[in-house]
Order: sequence, then C-alpha cells, then structure tokens
Amino acid sequence: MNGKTPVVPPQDARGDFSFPERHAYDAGYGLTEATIDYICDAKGEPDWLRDFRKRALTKFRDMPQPLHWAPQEIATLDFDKIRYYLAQGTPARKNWNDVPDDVKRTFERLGVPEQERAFLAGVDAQYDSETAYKNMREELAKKGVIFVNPTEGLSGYESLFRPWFGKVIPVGDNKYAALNHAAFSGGSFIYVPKGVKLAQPLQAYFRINSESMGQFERTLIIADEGAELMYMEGCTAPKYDTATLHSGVVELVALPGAKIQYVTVQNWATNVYNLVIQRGLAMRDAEIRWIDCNIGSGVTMKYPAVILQGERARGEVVSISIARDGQLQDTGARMIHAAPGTTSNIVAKSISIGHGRASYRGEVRVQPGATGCRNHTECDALLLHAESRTDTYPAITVHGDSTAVQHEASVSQVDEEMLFYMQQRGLTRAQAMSLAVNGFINDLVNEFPMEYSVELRRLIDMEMEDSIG
Amino acid sequence: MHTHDTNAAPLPDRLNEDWRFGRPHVHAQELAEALEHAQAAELRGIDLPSGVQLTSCAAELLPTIGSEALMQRALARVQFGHCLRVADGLQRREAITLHSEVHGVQVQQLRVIVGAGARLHLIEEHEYGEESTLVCLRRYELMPGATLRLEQRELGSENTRAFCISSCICAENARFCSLSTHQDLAWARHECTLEFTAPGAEALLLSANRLRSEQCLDMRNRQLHSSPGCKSRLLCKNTLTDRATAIFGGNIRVQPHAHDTDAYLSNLNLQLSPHATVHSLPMLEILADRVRCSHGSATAPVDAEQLFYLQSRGIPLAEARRTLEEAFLADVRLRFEQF
Repeated sequence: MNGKTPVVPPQDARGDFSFPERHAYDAGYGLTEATIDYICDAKGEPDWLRDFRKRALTKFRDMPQPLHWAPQEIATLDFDKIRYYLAQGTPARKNWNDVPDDVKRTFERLGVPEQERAFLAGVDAQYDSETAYKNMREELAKKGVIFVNPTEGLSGYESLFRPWFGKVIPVGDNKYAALNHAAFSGGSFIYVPKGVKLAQPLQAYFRINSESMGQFERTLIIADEGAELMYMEGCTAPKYDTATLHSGVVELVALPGAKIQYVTVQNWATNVYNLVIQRGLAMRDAEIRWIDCNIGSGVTMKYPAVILQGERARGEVVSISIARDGQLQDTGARMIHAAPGTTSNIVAKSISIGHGRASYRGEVRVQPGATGCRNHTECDALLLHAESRTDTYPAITVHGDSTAVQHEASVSQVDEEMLFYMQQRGLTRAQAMSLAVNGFINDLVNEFPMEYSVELRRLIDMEMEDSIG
Repeated sequence: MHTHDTNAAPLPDRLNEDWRFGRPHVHAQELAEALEHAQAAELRGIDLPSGVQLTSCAAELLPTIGSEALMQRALARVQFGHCLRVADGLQRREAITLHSEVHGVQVQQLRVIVGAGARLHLIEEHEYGEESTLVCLRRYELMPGATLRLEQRELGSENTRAFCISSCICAENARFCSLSTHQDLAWARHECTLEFTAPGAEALLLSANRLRSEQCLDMRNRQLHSSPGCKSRLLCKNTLTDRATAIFGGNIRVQPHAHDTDAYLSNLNLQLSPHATVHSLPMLEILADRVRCSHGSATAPVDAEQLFYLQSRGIPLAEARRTLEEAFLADVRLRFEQF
C-alpha cells in the first residue's frame, strides 16, 4: 500500500467540483418509452434488450414507492426531473492519455491513475452514464478474467452474462430494481474463471458530473468455482441545488468454493439520493463479504444482501455509516439462509452527528429445511449531539429447531469520564472526542484497505474539530 | 350503540408494518367479522378491600399498535367499561383477582387508576370457553409514587382467541411490573403501549409462554420515553413445540430531550420443533443523546450439552427436554416475584 491520495477521499470538499457539460448524448428529462429507444439506439442494443427495458419500465410505473416501511424522504423524489442518459459518445479508453481532457482532470483530481499504478489489478471509471476509462492488467486477461461494462458483456460474452442477468435481483423485486432494469447504463461485468485468485483488487469509480443526473449503473460479478476476488467502488459528485439520483444494481454470483469481497466507500454530495440494491448469491462453500462505508449523500437506502443458496455458504456484512446534518443513512443488511449449514455475520456501526439520522434496517431469515444455520448480528450506534437520531429495525425469522440466531444492538454516547481522563492528560476536547469516536469504529475500519481507513480516521478528526472545536 | 365510527380507519393489511408477519388478512379480518356479534363482558368474583372501588365508566379510545380500526369496532360494541380505583397511599401486598369467564365473542374494557403512593398486586384472569373470543381493552394509570404489580393470565381452550390492547401511563417515580402468560389459545395478539410522562418512573414488562400445536402468539410492545430519567426493562420468553408460531415486535422510542433514559428489551425463544416458527422484530428509535438503550433477540434449540448432562444422570430424553423448557421460563416468574 502507498501513502498517496486515495481514489475516493472521504470528505465532501474533495469531490465537490464540476466541469462544463459537453455530452454528445442527452436523453433529456423523465423516463418514457422514447427515452428507452434513445438509450438503446445510442448504445446499439439488440431488440430483446429494448423489449426487456420497456417491460421493466411498465413494472416501474405500476409499482408504488415502498413508503409503508421506507424513509418518507423518498416521497419527494420526482422521477420526471431526472436526466436518464448522458454520455460523451465515445467508447471507454484503455489508455489514460486518450481520455477527454475534462474527464481526465476529474479523475486525476481524485487520484485514479496513481491508484491504478500503485495497487489495482484493473480500474473502471464511470463519468455520468458511461464508462470513460477502463483498463485491466494484461496478465489477468491472459488468465481469462473479463472486466468490461455491461453493454460489452451482453454483446461480447452473452453466454456468460445473460444467464445471470437479472437473476439475483429480478426486475419485479421492487420499484428501484425495475427502474434500473429499464434505464441501466454503465457499471461492470466481471468474470473470474475457475480457480483464479486475484491478488490485487479491481476498482470502479463512479462520478456524477452533471446536474439532475440519474446514474443507473449495473454490476454483475461472477466468481467461478474456487475463484477469489476483491472489488472496490467509490462514488463522488459535485453538489447542485437540484436532486440527483444514484440507483445502481449490483449482483454477485459466487459459484461453489468462490470468494467475493465487495468494498464500497460512498461519498456522494448531499443532494444525491443514493438508493442502491446489492445482493449476492453464494453457492456451496462459497463466501460473500460486503464491506460498506456510507459517508455522503442526502438520503441513502442500502441493504447489502446475501442469499446463502448452497450448503455451508457464508455471508458477512461489515458496515459503517456516518450521518451528519441533513443526512439520512438508512443502511443495513439481509441474510437469507436457504441451505443447511450456512453461516452469516453482520456488524454495523453508525455515528450520528448534529441533526443527522442513521438507521439500521436488516433482515435475517432461516428458511424451512435450512438446518444447522448460524447468524450473529451486532449493531451499535453512537450519538454525538442532543439533536442526533438513530434507529434500529431488524426482522428475524427462524424456522426449525437446529438453528441459532442472535441479534444485539446498543445506543450510546461518548463517556464523559473517558473524555475527562484524556483531557487531563493534555488532549483538547476535540482530540479526545476524535480518539473516542475512532475507537468506536476501530475494529471495522481495519477491514477496509489501508488508504480508506486512513482517510476515514482523518475525516472523523475533521468532523470533531468542526463540531467541538 | 356507541358513537365511534367503525369505518374511519381501514382494517390492518399486509402494508401495515405493525402487523408484519401477523397475517392481518386472516386474523384482523376474522376478528372484525367476529366483533359484529360481540357482547360486553362482565367482571365478577371480586372481593374488594376498603380503599379499592370498582365503578362503571365510559369506554374510551386507547393507543394501539396498528389496530386502530379494530379498536373502533370493539368500542362500537360497548358503551361502558369498568374502572378500578385505588386510593392514594393504600399499601396492599395481597393480590386482588379479577376473574372472568369468556363465552362467545366478548369485549371487556377496564381502567385501573393507582393513586399516589399506593401499592397494588392485581391478577387478571380470563378463562375461555370453547370457541370463544375476547377483546380486552385495558388502561393503567399510575399516579406519582404508585406501584402496580400486574399478572395477566389468559387461560384458553380449544379454538379460542384473545386480542388485548393495553396502555400504561407512569407518572413521576411510579413503578410498574407486568407478567403476561398465554395458555392454549389458538391465536392471541397482545398490544402494549407504555409511556413515561415524568422522571424517575420504572417499568418491568415480562412475558413467558409455552406454545404448542398450531398456536400463534403475536406480541407487540411500544415503550415511549417522553420524560428524562426513566428506566424500562422488557423480557419476553417463548418455548415452541409442534407447529407453533411466536411473533414479537418491540420498540423503544426515546423522545427528544428524554435524556438519561435507561432501556433494555429482550426476546428469547427456545425452539423445540423442526416445524415451529419465530419472528422477532426488536426496534429502537432514539431521538436524544445521553441515553443507555439496547436490545437483544436470540432464538436457539435446546443445548445438546445440557441434554447430555441430564441424560447422563439417568433422566430420559423427553423429561430432560421438559425440564430444560421449564427452567428456561422459570426465571421470568422469579423476576416478577422479586419486583
């Protein structure tokens, strides 16, 4: 690991810049059949996909917002004031020098090329609706690893891509799944062949540059039998006065014995609605880990899930959320135990600062016939101010008498005696508070790659200085 | 008939989160139909000491957990309820038992007011005749410094149903402890709302249930900390055999400025059958800092090592399982006794 600027610096200011829009393709505002025709024509998609998108659009229109359980903030989202496709009209570049200047400047400010040279096996940089730059190390291509965008995946690797496309998260799963199926563009398709273990992570970087933009990336990762990979994604956007929507779909398929680790550091601007669906399917002896950090966005709804489909499959979610003034981080996890001997673990920690609200929403379900399963869920919340809010909404369902499921949650604040002790030893109150808060999430931060964990700690230091100092 | 509008609120449906896993399309629907033929229930067998009065009072709306429509329908069937009033300062260690037998479909409304500094042990016992249904609306008001120890015993029989809505309001330094048990009811739903309105109040909510055959117990609880410096504890334990189902929904809500709240909620289930089902929804909504709130939920089978230990001492398997089941539930009563 190096000590340079990380790909996604977890503070708003670093991503809060924009360049003038120069798009060759702009589908305009609102999502209609004409918008879908525009997207399909721009991307040169086959007729079956056009029909598929239009059927998804019908479902999207028919399905209500899930307001009976979801945060009421999403009711204000106006789908007619979102732009659904903006692209430069050029294919993704493999050489950094070929990337258009303004896009290149964007990613250089965010440190993408340095990261790629330093420790990544491959990188995908998405600018608004389409991939601007994508590259993968040659030796991985020789081993049969595929790392392309979904459009290329569908045209070039249809036999691999299509059987799993929309299978983990079906089009009718919920309103936002239908929306993504109708309007998806950009994202990644990754296939790692049998037994191939990637020593270095693959990285995707998502950037929204334009106002009122909707980004609907779609990621499908298939790890074949015994394969292993780590995938990291980071997200930033400049802050505009109008709402921006990020509604991605991420599907993971871990075939028998495979391991997938998916790391997200989300740092959208606070005008972004971040409504993402992430779900993995773990077959026999496979393992899926979601490592999730939500710092940015105005409203986030994200509940990474693992369907433990094969015997002895394992799922894990490690989650950190930081909700500051005006932010709602509604995050959590889902574990569906559908086979015997499956195990899962959820650890979620949240920090609410000022008027911020952090919620944990989770589901653990042990299906009939899934014997000998184990789950442990732990969620802890830290409240830093009198106006801060935290919620916990777990749902646990257990069938049968051979399964053990445990859930525990706690809410606390920084202990005054602890602060007093540290201040007595010469630390300022802000330093003491920062140390205490860092201690609260320390064990989870260590799960992130070094660059991310260092930046997370710095962010907390800055927050404490702002709010206490 | 009562003037409450039965059509004001829609019946619970699958989008009603307070009825999640509770099959409202079956149970709420059936209950609403049964309520059309409901009669007011009588209270009898009461030997009241001096300082305790039982009078009739007007029936009133109570806070529900997702069942406003059912509450309205129940109130449409009863004009008056009973009011048990305990005089200020009365100290009574012996229990008062309110026993009622349930036949057909009945609605019972009871309001209990425990005066300032008074102490009362109250047992409410409902004995169900075959195929009977009871809708029970209960409100407990604890004045400053009052203590109420409450036992709610639902003694069901074949094809019986219970739907209980309880509301408890605790004033300054009031102490409330309840123990509910549900036996042999085919279906029971118990909604309990507890509110602290002044500092220093404390509550311990206990429930222990042995569920068998096709029984379904649906417990919903809401603890509303509206005042700073209050303490609540909840422990709900169930053992499940055959095809029984246990649903638990618990919510600790700490309102803004209710600092120094100390709340804990726990739901523990012992699974004794491969066909039994548990749904657990322990929730927290915390809108104030400087609080200590937590919850826990655990569902597990009988510990194989404990079974082995008992068997190695010559206790047959079935008896060993029964012993462990009894031991699992025993501490709930012990806690009640110690309050």
